[in-house]
Amino acid sequence: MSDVLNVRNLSVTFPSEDGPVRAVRGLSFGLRKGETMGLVGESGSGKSVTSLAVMGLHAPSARVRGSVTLEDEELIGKTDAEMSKIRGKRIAMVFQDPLSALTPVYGVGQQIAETILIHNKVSKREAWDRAVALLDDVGIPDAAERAKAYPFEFSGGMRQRVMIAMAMANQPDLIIADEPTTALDVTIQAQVMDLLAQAQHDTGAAMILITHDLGVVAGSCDFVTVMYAGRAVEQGTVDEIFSHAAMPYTIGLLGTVPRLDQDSTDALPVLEGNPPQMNALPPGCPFAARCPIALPICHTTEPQLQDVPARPIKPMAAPDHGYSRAEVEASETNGAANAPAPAPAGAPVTNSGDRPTTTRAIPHRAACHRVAEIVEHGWGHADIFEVPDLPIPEYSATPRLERDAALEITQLEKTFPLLKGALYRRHVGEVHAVDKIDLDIREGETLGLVGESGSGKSTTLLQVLDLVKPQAGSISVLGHDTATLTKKERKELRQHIQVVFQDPMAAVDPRLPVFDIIAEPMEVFGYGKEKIERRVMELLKLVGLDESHANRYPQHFSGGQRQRIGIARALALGPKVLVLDEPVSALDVSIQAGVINLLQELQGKFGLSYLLVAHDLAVIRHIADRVAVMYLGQIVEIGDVTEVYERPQHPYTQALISAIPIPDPAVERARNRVVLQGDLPNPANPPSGCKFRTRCPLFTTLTTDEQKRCVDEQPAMRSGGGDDHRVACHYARVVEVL
Amino acid sequence: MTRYILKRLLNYAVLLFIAISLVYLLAGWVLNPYAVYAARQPPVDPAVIEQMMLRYNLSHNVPLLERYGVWLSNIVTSWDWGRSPEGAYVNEQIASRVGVSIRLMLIGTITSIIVGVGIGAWTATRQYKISDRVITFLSLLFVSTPIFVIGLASQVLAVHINRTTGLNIFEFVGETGRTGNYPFAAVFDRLQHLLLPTLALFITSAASFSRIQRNLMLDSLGQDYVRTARAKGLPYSKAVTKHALRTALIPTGTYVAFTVATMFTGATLTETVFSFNGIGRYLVETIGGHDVNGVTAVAAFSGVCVIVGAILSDIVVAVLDPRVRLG
Repeated sequence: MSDVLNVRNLSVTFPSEDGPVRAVRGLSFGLRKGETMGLVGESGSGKSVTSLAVMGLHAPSARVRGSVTLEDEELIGKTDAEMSKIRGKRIAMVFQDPLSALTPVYGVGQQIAETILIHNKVSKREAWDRAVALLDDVGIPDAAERAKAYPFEFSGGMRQRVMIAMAMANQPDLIIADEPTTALDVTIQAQVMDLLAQAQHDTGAAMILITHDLGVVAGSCDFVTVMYAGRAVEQGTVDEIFSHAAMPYTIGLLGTVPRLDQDSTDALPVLEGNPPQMNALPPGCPFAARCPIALPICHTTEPQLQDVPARPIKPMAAPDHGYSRAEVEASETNGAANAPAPAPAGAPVTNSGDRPTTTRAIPHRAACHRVAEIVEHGWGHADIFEVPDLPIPEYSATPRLERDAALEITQLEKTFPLLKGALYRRHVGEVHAVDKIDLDIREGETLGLVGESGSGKSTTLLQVLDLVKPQAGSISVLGHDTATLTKKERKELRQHIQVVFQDPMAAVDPRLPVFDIIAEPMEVFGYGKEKIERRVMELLKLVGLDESHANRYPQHFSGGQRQRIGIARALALGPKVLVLDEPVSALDVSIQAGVINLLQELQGKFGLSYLLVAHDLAVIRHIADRVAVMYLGQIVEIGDVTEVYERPQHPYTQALISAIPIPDPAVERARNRVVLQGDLPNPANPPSGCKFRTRCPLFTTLTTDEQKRCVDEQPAMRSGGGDDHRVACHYARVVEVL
Repeated sequence: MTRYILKRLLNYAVLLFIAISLVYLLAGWVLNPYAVYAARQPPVDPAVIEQMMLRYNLSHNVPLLERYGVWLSNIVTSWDWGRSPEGAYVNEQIASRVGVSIRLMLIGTITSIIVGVGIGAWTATRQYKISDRVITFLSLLFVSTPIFVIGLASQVLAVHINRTTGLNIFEFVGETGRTGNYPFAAVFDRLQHLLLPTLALFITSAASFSRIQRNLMLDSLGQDYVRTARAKGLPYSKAVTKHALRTALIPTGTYVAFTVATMFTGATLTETVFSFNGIGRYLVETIGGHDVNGVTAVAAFSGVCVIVGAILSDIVVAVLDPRVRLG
């Protein structure tokens, strides 16, 4: 069988004011029918540029060299008119953000039909019917009617389904999916990944999956190409890469991600530093500056991608995974030659293990001068990367209930009026954004708040930060009820509760130097000039920034460093409680680890309490002591983080945990997956009884009598066994999903 | 929806009524219709003047509020907007002058919208190329040149061409002139007279439309959905017209609706330069001629045009943008 797509020595260079930017340098790979290759790397590593160059959609100013053949037909050098006949027909693409990727003024059915009309001699009517059928295929309910809807009337997940329908429309030979799930909730991500696998199966296409999520790669790729500074630094089958990575960057990337399925009390290994500027690449290995085992030669000569030597029969260091090399080899050769057969989209429980491993072995290649040593000694991330020490928190010996409460929320409610109308807004109902929730955080403790977008996590945070009397229920911060505070007391209390925001780009004023940003809260509270100066320097050191950075502006810092500035500002007044709203989700994985370590270190040092919102459940497991799962404004399960992850009792928690791919292909293949159907229901009109019943996989297995209870009666929080595990489900039972 | 529109119209009507009343009171207080007769030779008998002023409801011996009452009741009962100090009927003046203004502006406005939007969209796709830079330079030049300069310059040029060719290709004084003896001669004559003022209007207005559209188009060209359209297999030019331009036309739609509605209020300078007795010139004349009723009527008419423009642009946006229509 020959390659559907063959990329040889592809390079892309853009002109820029500061000289040429070499975005892709000498990339090669081949892909056959039905195969999937993951293209992994940090932002700016050249992943998206590669995909656009294959599509011929790069900027006209870009210089593309090398060869891209699609079934032996050379694509580089074709005109726009020639490429237009290939795009959409033989190569289809799914983009990251499905809201901006669909034209807002045309209906979704029309946009799919357009794809068909461009490449086929069919009537408009036929194209429309086919578009409706495609929408049905990708799981849009009531497709004939919904095809007339506009993109803004669809949720993110449904829009991505439309994009996939569009990609499938002409039975392409190659599908390029560029971060197809990055903008989506985890539950929706699982749906979309299943759907992509189905689309690939139905069309028999080869697929390039561009993503920064190693879990997604482990779950759905045959091969992996790891890119760094425009080059492939490691290439191989997914099993090889994940279990025997041979290039320090890959090793670091894999080790630096917190694991959903493992308890961890230690710090994460840190991949320090940032990728080099692409217009001023250093002479040697571009990773050398961040590589703890770099030799002098690494700084002078760039290593070429070369075959990784065979491993010694007995690995010197024990592999981190519970299976032996023999098993890996067996699974590689046993993989059936036929295309994968994913479960139909309608099945509530699918087993991702249905996807066989790759049908062929490709050579494992890595670009590193020390690859022979790494393989010989079997070095893993712990051998190469430094794991910082974490201070032992002073509270760790005291049981949580004996500590003072830092934050207590009882029966908190918040409703928003729902407005509708084109030319004027009329009141059409109320949304219960937060619906009678109870939670408490003790001193030195971290509570993670998880749930899909729209579940009320952020509203809860904002309510706490407001420090005012809530609509109903009560909030008590460090023993002060916010309803009874005077204006002066409220200001006083603000010193003790501070916030770190998600987007470090937006959360610091670009026109202020770092010193002023960090000093601002202290100025508000009337600190003296000298004290402020001393404290800012102290804070900069604390968050791992250099004192000499104080006079620079935020634009001179990377995302991770900006987040550190945000943390320094939050710490300026010596708070007791920090509210963290997705503190690491906007950062690249290698940067994440450093910020996570910092947060844990600060907690240990100052006994801080964290209220943490994150959509990444692996991050929550790593940082949090306890976790609360929210659904449509209510907490459905709360408890110790290990207990909840290992023995989840609410079907929603189970679905949420099982939706997260684990960056380990062997584990991913063996997992049972609970896939949720559909989107979050309209919060203005939630279902009666249990709000989750419309999407509940357990509900469908109940008898009619049992179901009646779910429909009529809202489940109350009750003990789920253990001292600190509460769940709101009539039929709660443990399902292990890890 | 209907109730909402009615409510909004009622709001506008109240607003308009207040505005017009204020204009009337201000004009009645400041303007002095007696001055029209003051310089007459031979002098007119003051008693005769006073008599006329009383007849036309302009007498300063009647309290302003009382005049306002009479003026208002005339409008409400017989749609009579009053008379000028010389006795001309305001209703007739407005009617004939609106006609002149429309004849002057219709062709220029419509062609400038079409051509300006087209050029703007096209230059956006050729950003920083020579064609874009040349057109950008020209349109900035035309936008920043006052229209009377363009008008006078075009007249100088027209005279020169007429002289060198010996033919009367260009006519530029008034709406009509010498008419030939062939079929449709009258129509041809009118068109001949329209040519230069239309050209002057067209150049300024197309230049500004092209600037607006270029910026809108640049925004929408950078959008992901244009990339999606190309990824589907649309060639660049088609992806641009069908996806980028269609979206970039939404804001233009509101601006066009407004421009069309306010077209009726005329273009004072162009009318003056080319001696068209349109409504723009009427406003200037009424102020100079101490015509309280005329000033008020022009103000009222402009107000109505602006309101119609606002409503039209709301409707146009709703038609063009499903997010507004259904959201």
